[in-house]
Amino acid sequence: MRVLMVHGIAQGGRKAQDLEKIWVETLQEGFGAAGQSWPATLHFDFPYYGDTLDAFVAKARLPTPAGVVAKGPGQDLEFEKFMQSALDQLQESGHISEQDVRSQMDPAASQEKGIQNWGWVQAIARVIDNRLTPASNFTIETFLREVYLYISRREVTDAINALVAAKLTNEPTIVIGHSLGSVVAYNVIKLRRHALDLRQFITVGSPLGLRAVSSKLGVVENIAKPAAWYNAYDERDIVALNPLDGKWFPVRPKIVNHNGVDNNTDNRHGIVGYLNDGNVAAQVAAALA
Amino acid sequence: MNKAAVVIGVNKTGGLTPLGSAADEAERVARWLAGEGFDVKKLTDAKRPVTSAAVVKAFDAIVTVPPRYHLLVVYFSGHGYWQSRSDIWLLSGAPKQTAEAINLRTAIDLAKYSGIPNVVFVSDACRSIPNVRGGAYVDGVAAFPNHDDISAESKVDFIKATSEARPAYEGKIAGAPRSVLTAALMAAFEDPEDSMVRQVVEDGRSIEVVPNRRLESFLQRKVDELLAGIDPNASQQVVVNVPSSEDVYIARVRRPRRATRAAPPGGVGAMAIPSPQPSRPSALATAGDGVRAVADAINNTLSTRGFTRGRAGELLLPTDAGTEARLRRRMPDQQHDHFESQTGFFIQGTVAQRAVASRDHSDLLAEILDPGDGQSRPAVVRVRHVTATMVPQGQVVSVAVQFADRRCVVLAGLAGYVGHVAVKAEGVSNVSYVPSSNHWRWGEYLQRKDEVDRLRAMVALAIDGDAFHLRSEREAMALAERIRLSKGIDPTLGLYAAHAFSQAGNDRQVLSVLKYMRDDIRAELFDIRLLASRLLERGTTLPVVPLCPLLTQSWNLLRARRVDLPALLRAAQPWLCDSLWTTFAAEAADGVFEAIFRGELV
Repeated sequence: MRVLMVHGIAQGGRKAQDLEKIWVETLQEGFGAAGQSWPATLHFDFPYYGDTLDAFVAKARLPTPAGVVAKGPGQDLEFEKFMQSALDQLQESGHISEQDVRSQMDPAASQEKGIQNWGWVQAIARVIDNRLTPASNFTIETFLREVYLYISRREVTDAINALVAAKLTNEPTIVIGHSLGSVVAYNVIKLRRHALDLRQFITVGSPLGLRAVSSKLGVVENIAKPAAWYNAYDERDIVALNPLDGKWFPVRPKIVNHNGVDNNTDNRHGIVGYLNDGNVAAQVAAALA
Repeated sequence: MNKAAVVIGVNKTGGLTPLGSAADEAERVARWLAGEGFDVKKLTDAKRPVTSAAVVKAFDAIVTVPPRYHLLVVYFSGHGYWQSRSDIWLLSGAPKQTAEAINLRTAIDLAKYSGIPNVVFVSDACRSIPNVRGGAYVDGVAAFPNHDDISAESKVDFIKATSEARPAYEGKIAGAPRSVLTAALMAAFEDPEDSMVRQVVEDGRSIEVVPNRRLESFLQRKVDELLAGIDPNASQQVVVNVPSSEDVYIARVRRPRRATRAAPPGGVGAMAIPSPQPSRPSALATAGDGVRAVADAINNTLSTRGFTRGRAGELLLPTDAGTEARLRRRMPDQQHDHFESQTGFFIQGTVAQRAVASRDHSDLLAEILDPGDGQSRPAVVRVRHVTATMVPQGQVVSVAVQFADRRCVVLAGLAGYVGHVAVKAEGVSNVSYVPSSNHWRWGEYLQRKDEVDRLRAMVALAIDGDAFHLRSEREAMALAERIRLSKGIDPTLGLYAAHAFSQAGNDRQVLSVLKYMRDDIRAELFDIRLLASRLLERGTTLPVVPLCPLLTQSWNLLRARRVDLPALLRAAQPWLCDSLWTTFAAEAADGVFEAIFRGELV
């Protein structure tokens, strides 16, 4: 049995071996928390696409909310729509109040009445960043740019999928996808289900419950079936606010959601705050049994 | 595969003649589709009225983000109108309540962005032009939710019971009140011809199905057969458009056991019930075959393997004399090929009373040089620069022309182009934009003149008859190639092609047409910008002409594309004539013309 680990955003410039080591050690912690002994025969594959994605991001020159405020909308209409949709939903699902958002806006500035009030959008991004990311390289803009490029640009999707698909074998496999990695894993499994002996699909900190993301995936499916799909998240993780349930990710059979993770990373999104969770590790252990 | 259906049947609509079969047909279709694994939302007036709110709620439950169905069938049986070149499905509260209806063209436009890969509309309803004034105000709801998040385009097939402006029929079939199209459709799956059946694997099982693509000829034959048993004098020309691929189908073949097989069609004393009474039969009704032949010729030419640019293929083959005459009426006037100003209109078939250019470009004006005689002598409307005469390259303007019968058109005046306008009883049937013979574009136009003029006339006729549909990506590519001149796109063909591309769910080609036109005329045509609105990368600084849709059918897309016209134009919408090109009836024409004249509409 092996575990295929698919990492998330903002991993450019890192070494795959270092990341894999962090993932494995954290999962070991989780096994301990779950009271499970660490299996000696378990091995891992860790496809790395961080630098590839970084190269696409650099090339794409996507606007930021601040840039749209300064230069006006229309620099990249599709991305702007995506960004606006995602941030609107994050505000709503993240219980970010109107007052919070207004506190990030210039009270003296004029207010546009149109549907694309980018001052408002920019303020939502600021609230999210201020609340969750005091000391990490994670910003909501980074997240949105990387997710958008992956789900909307065919060449990016294909390049990253190819890196992950290269690790598919007919060996019994547990797939763990974190953050954007859960979307990548979803797509790769959907396309190549026949090439994989999947025993369990585990997503952690997944943005698949965001409309801006799920709307770009075509008709959603439980791609794990007949194996189980287990989705774990911290309710404070801003990009994983919604469960993958009948409202946000309506598939059959239903995905098992676990919202009880206490992610101890500063942005509530880091992988080391997920894989050390006893319930997540117990799922891996159960699939091994 | 996940499948869903919204099935609607309405027998009683306002004061219109009650139907005998609509609700029952909806029950049958709902049962049939449920048996095929569809999640069905059924709405009939068997027990309570069917409202727009209930319809919208049903669609909201099915058309979700993220999408969860691969196929959606939308079925309607009931009264229908043909209004502003769109089908209007009437619900219980119409026509008194103008929103108690479904605007099919709007629904189809939104269905393209539903995220559901394949949507099939079945319209078993009349397409008659409302014969009471109140009917003209019924515009209906879109039914589908407008999901901005969805960027993938769906393939939308439709099956309509009858051709535009014509009634559909119900009557007794095998002793029971039935709607003819629905009976024929269900028969296609119970007793299909061998050539219709395809073997496919679904959920690991091999099954027999009838792809949507193989329904058309059977449906027409079956409708003819069933109708002959009801009323030998009635006719019903089924309209089918299937851009989806060969592997898209509604249901399995379910041949009934012989012992329970239905009795032959027809019934003694059966009576056809047109609904509602048609007021003005379309000219198309007597010439539908010609239109279809023209549409087939275009499709065959576009799909011919190895075709090369400049070869007209089947386009040049003559059709029947009547159709040839109709094509000639849509050809540019050979005797009038230029203006000194290089810009203006020759208008056949009417007398021009007054003309005005919109005030947004105060350097250009429109003037009638000859009002025409309504017969062989065309009206001549020149657009010129106020001092220099010649319209500078890249300048455009909206031009309103009011006819002697008080009807009015608003056209796009394009620098260097002569618009040859054909007016018939229903309104403007075509505008061929052709380079003025004293303009530099003339030389390149001349090289392909015969082919382009004929293609433009044929496409105009086929679109006017709602018969021109692109059937494949290959046809779309071929059309995109054909409408291109070396430095731009024939404006009229570009406009028609954009509609065909959009209907086929090919917005990339719509955007391509828009970009070619931007480069050529330094402006955007209203309709093409409207059709490309989902994909536009950046706001335009180019002028958009004219100030309202050029084609009548485009008016139905305004709401779905969130384009808000000035109140005066919105109020004029019920007064659009049943013509391919926007023509305001006398009741609204004065107001529109005067508002442009005063500079209130620009």
